[in-house]
Amino acid sequence: MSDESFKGRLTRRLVRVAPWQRCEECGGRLFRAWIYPSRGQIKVLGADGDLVPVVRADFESRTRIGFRHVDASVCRRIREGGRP
Amino acid sequence: MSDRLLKVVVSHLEADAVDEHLAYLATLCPGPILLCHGGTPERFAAVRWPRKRFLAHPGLRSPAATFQTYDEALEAAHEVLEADRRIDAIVVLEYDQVPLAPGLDEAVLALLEQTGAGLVGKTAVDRTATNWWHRVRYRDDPALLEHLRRVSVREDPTRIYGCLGTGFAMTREALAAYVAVEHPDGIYNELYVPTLVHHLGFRVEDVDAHGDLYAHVRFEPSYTPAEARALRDAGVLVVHPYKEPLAQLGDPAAAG
Repeated sequence: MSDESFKGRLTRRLVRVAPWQRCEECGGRLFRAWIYPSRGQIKVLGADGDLVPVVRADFESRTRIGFRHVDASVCRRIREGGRP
Repeated sequence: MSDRLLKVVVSHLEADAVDEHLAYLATLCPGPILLCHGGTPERFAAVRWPRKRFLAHPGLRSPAATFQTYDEALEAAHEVLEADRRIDAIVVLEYDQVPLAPGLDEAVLALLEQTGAGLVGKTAVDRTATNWWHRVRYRDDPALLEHLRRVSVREDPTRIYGCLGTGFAMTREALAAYVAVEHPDGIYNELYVPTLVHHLGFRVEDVDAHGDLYAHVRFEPSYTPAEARALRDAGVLVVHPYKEPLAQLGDPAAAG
């Protein structure tokens, strides 16, 4: 059993109980993820699964980063003229 | 029917399947069709469709969603447009994007005219600052970034666009500008085509932001024949992916 597979299994278990992250435009669920700072980056543990949609991340204010859908076919607000 | 749109069909299938597909398409959506075949030379040689081009790039034979390039296909399409000034635009259709009823050509042309875009495609949007896998893997790619810095007319030459690799349409002008550029080798087409079109000064627009034409064009899973027939009965024009025999959709001459 390699360290990598152990790490992968541990990550999957952690992500399974992580809070849902939502699209700030439509409020729809995006993916489960733990978000934390690490060495100058913000880690988003869970944003890389097969079923995770493509999302955009951006500072929405000086203290807040938001996620948004990229795909208009799954985001009602983009279809209504919101920001992709 | 539209003589103004060239349908560029990309396939790798056996010759009989390709000819069946093209006959179906020509019946349902008459107009110029160019086959770009990325399969084996033997399969390509056996295809009876007269307007055809063999795609030799090894990237097309690499694992899915890695280094596939449409540069050869787009150059072949441009040659067709140079020889026929009636054609205003192209739409690239992979073999598993299947029209269900007449009207795709007109809808695509209307979308290009309505948006004023050089390229329209499924989820054709700026993918900078996204978790899209291809954007992440090319984010720091020196060959791509140097290329974009060289050719871009935009203020920010690092912008990365993306769209689904099937169903995108380009105007004659955008296509001419695209083929006039010398391309780096093997940059994945879903990223490279819309990104370059943007950096050449054309607008890139998302089909889904302008209507429901591609509401049933998705990455996966594949549609079954029963699902496709039900969608056709509900008025849907096109689906992707559909990988079953086209005969299971019924006679295209009776559709619509």
